This record gives sequence, C-alpha cells and structure tokens, in this order.
Amino acid sequence: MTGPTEGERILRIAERAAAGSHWLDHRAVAERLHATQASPVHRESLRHTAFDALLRIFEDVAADATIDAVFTGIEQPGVFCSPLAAVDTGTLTGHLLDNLPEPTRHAGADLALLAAPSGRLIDVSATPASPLHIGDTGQGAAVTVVRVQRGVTAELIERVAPTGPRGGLLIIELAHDATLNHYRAVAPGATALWLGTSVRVAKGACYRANLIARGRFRARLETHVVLAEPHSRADLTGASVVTDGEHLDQPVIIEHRAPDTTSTQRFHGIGAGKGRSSFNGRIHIHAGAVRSDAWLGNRNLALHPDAEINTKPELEIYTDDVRCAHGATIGQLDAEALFLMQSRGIPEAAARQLLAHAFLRACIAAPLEAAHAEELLGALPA
Amino acid sequence: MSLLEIRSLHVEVEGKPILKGLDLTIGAGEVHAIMGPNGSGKSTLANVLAGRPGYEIVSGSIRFGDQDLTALEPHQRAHAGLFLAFQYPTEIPGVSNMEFLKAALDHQHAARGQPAMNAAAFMKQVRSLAASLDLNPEFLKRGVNEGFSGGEKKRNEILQMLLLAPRLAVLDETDSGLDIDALQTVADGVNRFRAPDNAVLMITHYQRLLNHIVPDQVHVLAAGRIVRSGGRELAEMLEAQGYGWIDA
Repeated sequence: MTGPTEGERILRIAERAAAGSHWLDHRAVAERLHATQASPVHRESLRHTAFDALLRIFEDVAADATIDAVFTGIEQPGVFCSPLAAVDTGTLTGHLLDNLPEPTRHAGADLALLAAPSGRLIDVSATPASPLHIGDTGQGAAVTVVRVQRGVTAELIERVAPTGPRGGLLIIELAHDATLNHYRAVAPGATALWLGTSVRVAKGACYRANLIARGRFRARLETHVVLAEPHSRADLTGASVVTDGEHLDQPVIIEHRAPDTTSTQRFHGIGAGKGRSSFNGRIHIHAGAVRSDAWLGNRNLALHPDAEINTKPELEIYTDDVRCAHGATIGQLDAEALFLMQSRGIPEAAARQLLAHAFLRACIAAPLEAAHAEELLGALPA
Repeated sequence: MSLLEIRSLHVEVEGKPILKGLDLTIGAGEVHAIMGPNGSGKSTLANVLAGRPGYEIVSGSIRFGDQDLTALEPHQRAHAGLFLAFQYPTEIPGVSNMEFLKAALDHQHAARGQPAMNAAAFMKQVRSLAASLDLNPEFLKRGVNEGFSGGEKKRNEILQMLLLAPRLAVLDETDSGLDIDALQTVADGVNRFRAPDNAVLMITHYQRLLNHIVPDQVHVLAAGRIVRSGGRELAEMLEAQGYGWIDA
C-alpha cells in the first residue's frame, strides 16, 4: 500500500492550518511550494535534512499546534504588537512570498507559513529602552514578523527551547538606517525543530546576528538575508555543538542585491560526539551589485572520531568589481597549543577544554554568554 | 644531590637517531649552557625533557630530583618543577594570557597541595612581572602570544618562567630573534630567576647570550653527544673558531 504523496501531504498541512484561519492565502503558498518538488536544487538543498523528515515535523505540529511563545519587552514605548490576521490577507501573502527565499533552497519557510495557524507582527517605531525577548518553549508552528522602522536600533533576544515538534518562521524587515542586533540560543532536545529566519535589509541598515545552537534529535536552522538596497550590511556569527545522537543542519544564504553592500559570516562548530552537523554558507551577488564585499568563514573541530561534519561554502557571483572570500575547515585541536598548555602544568583534558571553549566563545556574544553558553560548553568531552 | 641527571640517552625522531648517548648532570644553583651546530640535537634534548610527543627514548635514563622524568606526562613534569621556554612559542587565539597563566598556576599549586592564589594577588603579580619585562600589560588580555612580535613572545616565556618558579628552566634558543635591548631584558629576567635551589639550562647557537647570563658550565653538543665541557672560555673559543675544530 502506498501512502500519500509529498504533494498531498503539503496540501493536508495547508488545509489543517487554514481551517478557521484567514490570515494567509494558504493555497498560493502551497502551490508555490508544490512547484519546487521536481527541482534538483530543492533535493540538494535538503541533502542533510530529508524533505520527508521536514514534512513530518510540520504534519506533527499542524495536527497539534499549541504555540507557547512568550514575548517580553513588547509593552514599551515605540513597540507595537498585533496579530497578522489584522493585515489584509492577499497583500500579506504577496509581500511574504516576495521576500522569502526561493523554496527550492529553503523549503521550510514556505512550510512554516503553511503550517502556522496564525502569526504576529512586532513593529518597532522608536528605539526601545530595553531588548525585546521571545521565549519559545512550546510546540507548534508560528510566524513572527519584526519590523524595525527608519533609523531605529533594536535588540532582539530569542530563546528557543521547544518541548515538542516545532516549526518557526521569523521574518525581519529593517527600514532605512535601522539596526537590529539579534541573539538566538537554541537548546538541545529530543524533538525536531525547523526554524527559518528571513531578513530584508534596506538602505544603510544593518543586521547583526549571533546564533548559537546545540544539536537536537533533528534540527534545521535556515537563515536568509537579503541586502536589498545600497549600503546595507549583515554581520552573522554563530557557534554550535553537536553531540551523541544529535543533528544540526544550518543553511545560510546571503544575497547581495544592491551596490555597496557588505556581509560577513563567522560560524564555529564542534562535533563533540557521534552526531551529524552541516553548514552550507551561500553568498549570492546579483548582477549590478557592484562593490559588494562578502566574507564567509566556517571552522569546525571534530573532537570525536565518529562526529560527522559537513561544510560547504558556495559563491555565486554575477557582477565584476566585488570582493568575496570564503574559507571552511574541519580539523582537530592545535597540537602545538595543546603541548604548550601541558608543558605549563595543565593536564591534557583540561587543555582540550580550554581550547575548545575558546574556539566556541570566539563566536558567542556577550548577551548569550552568561545564560546560554553553558549549554554548548557543557556538551564538550570532559 | 643533582637536580638533573641524564645517562647515556638515545633518542629517535621518526626512526632517525638524534641523541646518541648523551650524558649531562646539573646541580641546584647552577647555570649550564649547551652550544652546538645546527642538527646536533640541541632542540631534541629540550623537547625530550619536556615530553613532547614524537620523541622516542630508545635507551638511557633521565632523573629529575628523585623522579624518573621519562615516566611523567608533560603536565606532571611541569608539576615536578620543569619548565621549557620554547624556541618558537605558539599562538593560542581565544585563550587570554591571564586565563592561561591562572590555569597553569592553579594546576601546579593543586598538584603540590598548595592553596590557589586569589585572583587579585595573581593579577598584581602578573602585572608586576610584565612591567619588569617591558611587556605592555594590555597584552595580557590578548590571546596567548596572539599578535606578539618575536621579542614579545620570548619575553612572555620569561614571564611564565618567573611566575611558575620552576626548579629547572630549559631555555631553547631564547636569544634567537631578539634585538640587543630585548636580549638584555630577557637576560635580566633569567638572572633574577637564578637562586641556590633552582637551575637553568640554556640552549644557544651564539656566545652573545652568555655575555649577559654567565654560565657555570658550557657543553658542546655534536652529533647527538656532549663532546666537550668546560667554563665560559669554551664558549669564547667557539665564537672565535666556530665548530669546525670539534671532533664529534
């Protein structure tokens, strides 16, 4: 007996979420997603997280969606929060689909839209006095749109620690000269997680992100940044640890669509046990995006003989006059550094820990260090 | 009792014999210098003493105080009071000098059953040592040796030596790459370290270091063995005549 096709499963997810909810044109999203199924790019983009597994997450979350996201810091001057249902459905759908990554590469973003029974808009029109917090502990699918208005600087601290299957889509729109400092810590856990972040950066605006994560039973964290207008920039850093039985798949796409745009990515990962991690950093410089400056560095340490680490930097450049560099490594701890430490009286195990901690802390920003760094550091071999 | 006693030491690196029957005895309060041409085994001796992986002791013995040094792991050799100042100190980005020094000192104190030094006293001592060695105290916040010049790295080695106060300090070509001012600073540090209960083994190519740190004994290492021993005049002879007259 053959089960339902992928197309049928996509439609079923959409129908469940659409029942009693009118915030989105689910059919338009489902059709777009369905159209990608035959694409070889689509299959390749899901090489480290099978599409079937992704579908299962959203089937599960759509069937029993109990979103339990706690927002704090939204009740302060300059911050306005409302359900997305308040926005006209057709306009919203068109707007979201225009700004999301192509589903051939990041299929999860469209799936999250399909599965989410509702969404929330956080509009920041004046620089808040304190950071915005999203504490995400439940299960289900959720879409959150954060808009930072012209000239405003905001800080967003996101904590993702779901108790059940979870799909989440965070859409960030930065207006002219806006700045968002975005921090996210993903907790380890026995349930599957798909998390998409889609960012659009306007003229002179700046998106800075520090994304730290432990592997989970299954986790795919997609990040997509569009430098849409001149003099926009994005600086991404991230640290991750995957240990026994954990999986973490992190595809990142940065698109330079305008001249004089700048991006940097620095991600450090450690394979601390028998688990699987993958990082795919893609820089796409469009025609006409002259004087783009892009840099990508992904370094990985294999601290366990059975750790599986995949890294793939990708450059796609359609204009001359750009600066673009990338580097990706998978290695061991530096033997010279280890010996120097031992020769000063530090036992090998402690020396290994010091070096691994330093490697991770280079990519953990202060707002996450105190509360969440231990989740990564504690997973390292003693 | 001698502090270090090496008897008929034979060492191979990747199957190739480097040290071929080396004998050396160093007593407390003494400063020894080992000189020799390139490839004679000088750095091999330093690395074997510190326990660097890849150096295989084929035969012979190394006693350090009342212990068999070869039975100890590298960190245990440090706990026993051995210190190697590296010829090419490596950089450790991300681990600050302060963090590194505190970890080293804490482990050494714990191994000897001594209480850990409190953070304020530790920082005061390290800053004071840095000032005495002309090292910018701000550098202590950087990663170990990160962005240091060659001279700064060597001064940082001497700082570690003074802080950890070993019983035997082995200086592996500490003078290489130093200008005359830095050489004087490093030598001042070593001279300050000298005491009746510790010892120094200097490994060097050139006699000039011995103008600043006067040794009790000079040894010539050639083809894996000590072939001459004498006083400072031996170093002066080597400087004047080179190594050609040595019959290995």
